[in-house]
Amino acid sequence: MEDRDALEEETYDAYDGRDAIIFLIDASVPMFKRPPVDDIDAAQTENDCPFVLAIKCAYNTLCSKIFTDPNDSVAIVLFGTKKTAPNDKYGVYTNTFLLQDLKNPDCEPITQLDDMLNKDGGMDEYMYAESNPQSISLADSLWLCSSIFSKHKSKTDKKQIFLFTNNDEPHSKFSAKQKQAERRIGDLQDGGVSIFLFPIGEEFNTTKVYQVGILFLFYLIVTVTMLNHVFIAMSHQELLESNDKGGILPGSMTTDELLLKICRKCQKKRTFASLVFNLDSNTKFGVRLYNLIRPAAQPKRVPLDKRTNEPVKSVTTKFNAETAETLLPSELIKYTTVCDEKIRLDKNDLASLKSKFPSGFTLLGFKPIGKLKLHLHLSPASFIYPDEDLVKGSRMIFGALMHRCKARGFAPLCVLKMTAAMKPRIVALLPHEEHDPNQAPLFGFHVIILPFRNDVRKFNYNELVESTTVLNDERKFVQQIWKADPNQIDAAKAVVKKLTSKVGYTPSDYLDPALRTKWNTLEGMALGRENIESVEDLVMPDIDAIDNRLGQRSTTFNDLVFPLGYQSQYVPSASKAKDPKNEAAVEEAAKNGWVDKMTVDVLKGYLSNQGIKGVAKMKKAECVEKIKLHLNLK
Amino acid sequence: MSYSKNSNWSQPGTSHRPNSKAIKPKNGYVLIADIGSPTSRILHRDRTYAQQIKECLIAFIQQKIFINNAIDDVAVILSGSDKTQNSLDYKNIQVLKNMEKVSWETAKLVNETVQTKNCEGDWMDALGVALDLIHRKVKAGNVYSSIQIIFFTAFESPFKTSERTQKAYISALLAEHTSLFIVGSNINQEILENEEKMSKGELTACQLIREANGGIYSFGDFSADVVNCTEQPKIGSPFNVTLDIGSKIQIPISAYIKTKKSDSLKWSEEISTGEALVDKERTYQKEQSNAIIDKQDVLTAFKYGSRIIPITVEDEKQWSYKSGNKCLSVLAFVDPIPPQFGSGTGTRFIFSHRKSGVVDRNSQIALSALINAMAETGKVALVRYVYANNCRMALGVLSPRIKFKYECLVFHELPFADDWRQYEFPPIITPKSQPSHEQMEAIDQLIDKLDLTNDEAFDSTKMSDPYEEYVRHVIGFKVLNPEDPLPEIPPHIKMYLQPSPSLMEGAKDVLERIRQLFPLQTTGKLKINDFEASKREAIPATAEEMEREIQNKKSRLDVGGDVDLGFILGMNSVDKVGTTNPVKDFSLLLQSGKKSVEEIYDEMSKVILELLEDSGGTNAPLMVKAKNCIEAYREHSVAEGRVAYFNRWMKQFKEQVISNYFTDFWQKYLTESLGLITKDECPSSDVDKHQAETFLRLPKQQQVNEIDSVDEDEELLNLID
Repeated sequence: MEDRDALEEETYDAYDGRDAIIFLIDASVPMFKRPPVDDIDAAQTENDCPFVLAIKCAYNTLCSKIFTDPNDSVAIVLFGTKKTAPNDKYGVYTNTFLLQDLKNPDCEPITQLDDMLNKDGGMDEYMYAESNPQSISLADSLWLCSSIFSKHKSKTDKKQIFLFTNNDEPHSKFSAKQKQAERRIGDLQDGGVSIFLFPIGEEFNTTKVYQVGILFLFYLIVTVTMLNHVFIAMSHQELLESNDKGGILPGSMTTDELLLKICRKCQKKRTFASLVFNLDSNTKFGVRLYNLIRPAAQPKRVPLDKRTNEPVKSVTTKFNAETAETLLPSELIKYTTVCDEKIRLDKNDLASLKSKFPSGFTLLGFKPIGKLKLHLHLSPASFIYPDEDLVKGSRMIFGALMHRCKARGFAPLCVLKMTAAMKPRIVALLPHEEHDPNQAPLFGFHVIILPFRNDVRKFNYNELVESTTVLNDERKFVQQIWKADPNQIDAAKAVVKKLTSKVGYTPSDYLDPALRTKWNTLEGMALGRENIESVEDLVMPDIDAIDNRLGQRSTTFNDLVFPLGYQSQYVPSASKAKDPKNEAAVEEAAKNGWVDKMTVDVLKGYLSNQGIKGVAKMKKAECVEKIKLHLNLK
Repeated sequence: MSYSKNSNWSQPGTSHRPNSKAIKPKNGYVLIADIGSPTSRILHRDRTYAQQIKECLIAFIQQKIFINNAIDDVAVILSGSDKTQNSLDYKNIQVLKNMEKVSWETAKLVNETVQTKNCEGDWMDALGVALDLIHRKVKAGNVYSSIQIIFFTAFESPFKTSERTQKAYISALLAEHTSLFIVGSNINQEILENEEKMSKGELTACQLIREANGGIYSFGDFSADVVNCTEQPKIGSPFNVTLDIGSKIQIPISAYIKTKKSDSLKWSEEISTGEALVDKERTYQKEQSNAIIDKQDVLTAFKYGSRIIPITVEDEKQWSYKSGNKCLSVLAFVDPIPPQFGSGTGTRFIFSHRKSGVVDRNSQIALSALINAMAETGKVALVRYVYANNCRMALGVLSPRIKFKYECLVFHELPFADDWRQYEFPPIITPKSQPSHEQMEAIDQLIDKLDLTNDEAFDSTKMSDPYEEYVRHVIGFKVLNPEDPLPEIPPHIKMYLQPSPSLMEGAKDVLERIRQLFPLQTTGKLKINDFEASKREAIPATAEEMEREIQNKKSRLDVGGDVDLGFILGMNSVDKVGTTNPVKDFSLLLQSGKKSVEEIYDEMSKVILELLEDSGGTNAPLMVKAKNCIEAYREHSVAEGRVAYFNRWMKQFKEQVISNYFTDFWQKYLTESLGLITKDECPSSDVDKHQAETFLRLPKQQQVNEIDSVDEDEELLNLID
């Protein structure tokens, strides 16, 4: 049992490639019922029926996948519909409608869903769901899913079904249809398909609390008898807890939350490296290394032939600067110049320097977490998790090591060389056990890269901080830095307290406005939208709100720390130089022939305001020339 | 610089510390090497005193080339040279290199010239020449922030001095703020305390140092100080902005980079056969026909599904996100953010605004109030960070940092939603897989044994980047030995990346227990993993895998048609250390990398025993062979820093020698240079000279025991008694 568990989980872990996802959406009558309005605030924002919610999820998934994973495939299947569309490829299935076939995300499917969601009556076509629930068969729709997967060209894709429903009991227990459904699920499982259930839960949240159990019962029957493969996207406990809080949270199943969960499921768990962890030369176990925080990829650029709009490829050729002969890679050698001496090394030799250091983790010892210099951040952390595929038994020793380190507040200190191309580094491993049900489970070690001496700048703090020499108790002269007095600190504390946010920082709260603007604009252009939605910049402080909140406190603080009439010696130079007011002055000066008396900053500011390029590198004389040229004074 | 350690009466005076305010302060060094006839004396490892000096000189020059932008001046003077070449015309004193900007030329000259000469030089004369050099340089208008004379001598050659000369020297030293360092003499702590034991030369030198400035160092301490060729970067120019809280509170600040990945050396390409530069050109071609398209006709576009959206630079500028003016504005105060959320590539420390060296006192007070308020409430600030107008915008966090010498805010970047991957990692310890009590206990013991709480070792911020050090080592080696193969990683660099041997020795039992308690089995994946994919995979752990890897490499070589015949031949002919030509086999195997070093070592030790057994303790040629084997084994261990392994084997070997009655061999052939590896030879050893000497002695008792066992029948012996 234990082995099987581990095995299954590992196969899930080991995945590295493309996804094929079918959105299997319940389109029976209950899915079109709008949630009852208990809360007026919620009603305004969240009054979508479960079906719309599910379609929104599919739409959002497509919209982001087209940028992040353009090679994934997505299909949308509705079941419980009256409408059936005979399909040459897959045949006819009762009460099942193939809204979109499995293919890479593209404009048409996105437009189709967009129309459904935003056009009046866009949904009508699908509204006429089958009124007789008895004739609906989950098995049939699952069957369609398996034919879709079996006809899919790319066989290596990771196959997933996202099942959206608010019906906790599609078929009565022990009915024939239930059995059929179980069989289908079994078949899908054998075909390596994972099924995720996204229960949409307004009903559960508001009135029928106990139905949570029933919903679970239904799926548990399936789960227990047939497979471990239906991952319940929301855990039982999680659902119950959100109800326990009593606040009848429409929020527990809002679009945002559902989207977040989908987003989490769609992220591809890519192993960055599989490495050996050496406790000593005799004891080694396997770990997988993941990068949880890395800059998001920007939309890709492709070069294009302007005349034909055909994509072109870019080719870099190397040639001898003297003879203009084209060079082969084997004719090249690497060199560096140190103190006027050229050192030449064969490319392979140069690469071999790094591979002389063994890769993997080597344990050096244990340090209390408090003693680590974690404030000296160097680069984003990585994460490790045991790898049974590399060394059997890794889980147990990794688990014990992590557990004891966590309990005792110690961090293993290691040498780590991640890949052949990376140099060895000293890292600290921070044990992490995440029990918060609202977060993705996270058990393992964070790998924090510690800086070497040459990565840390040498500061002479005496020059950065003003201090006075005072006589201390032991009659010795010591440097004492200038500090704020308790009154000033209290004034600052009032500011800090007033602006303290109740919710802590989580990355998912902050979308990158630059990236999102790019996405939105490209999407708008591709789909020919007239209005491109602007992105809300969540990383822009709301100055008015802050001022209001602080009220008198900011004045009190300023009065206490800054003397009357305090003028900062800091002047934002660039903005002054670029001030358009200077323009007239510069132009006049130029006409009167004393432009060279003005400062370089002002001249440069003027030129860049005029849209002239390469200003940064110009010397003063060049600037003057350029200005004269620009104003046709020559 | 100071040569630290056992120089407790030297005065590493503050006067010759580089003045940080001066622009590009350069230092002056005069190296004096005694290469007179006494320097042919052999130190350990068959190296002469002169060779030792040469190594130190080259290491020193190399360090100066790599640090401080190579602006320091270095002069080299040889004392006891067969040439006389100096402005004062002192005999047998040769100015090899005048005091000039350090260069490889100097290192090469030293490499070619420094060796024992059959002459003797007066070291006081040499010192006189050095002082004269310095005097001329300073007179010529050179400004040094420090000047050092580093004298390598054991005071074994005769010299002349007088009180007048000494006084003149001392005043010369003091006049130019020059310090004098003596390296490699016999002077140690014991002698220092007892002047009667000093030779006349040593006494004179000590007097000079006492009057002026300086210190006395052993070769080992000196090398340890000059071996690092990377330096800690200096403070850069700050990012000046106001820290804004709403529109009312604005504190002018300067943010300085505290950590950032150091720059590696830049490597460019050129043509292997000549010196010609390489030009690169990017052309655009049609996908199918490879027809070249004019650059003017190429436009960038974005892909959206199957649709392609052409975009001009102007358009993109128009619609892309505008981050606004440069700023550092507080969004809110929140609870501290765990370290794993740090994104970005470094850390900035934020101090109050400083302009032309003057700190804004008021802003320091304002910042101090904020720092202390944040520390007392236990909060950090989330901020919007824009480095320059309309540049990339980042989300960041400011955390308070209060020390005795300074207070500042520490700035880190934080990830956006799109930069964060919320993969799921299910619990590792589940009711089904629960480590046993013993297993947990063993891990606890391991933590106790390898506790570095009070250990300064492995504070990474005090260590040089080992890879960067190695690259510089290789460059230095290549300049002096262009034809030789690349050197291995020297032991002082390896030391950084290995657990401390003494700590591991202490944890030996626990580690053994862990090995028994946790069954671990390497799977096929680790073994089979082909090398292609394993660019990111684990290194082969066993010889078997290593072999497979080499097979892989070989097959790739075959495909490429570019086969290094010698490489393969060499490998095919030797697969094991044999008794016929063990030393050669040993070195070939090590070069081929076919097997792990430990395995080769084990084979070697087997062969040594085999040879001894064959010799029966009497056959001299076989015993010599065995001795040569030990020599080779030991030499490699010292060079590779595998001290613990060798010493462990040596102890085992001694036992075997005793129990197998090879004591004759031991006494005849094992000299000081073949026993345990000592600290002096390799810093990672924990054996000192004394211990090594006692180890070599076979205790009398043991010899008696041995006789006992020779007779085997103890009772019989007793009867005879």
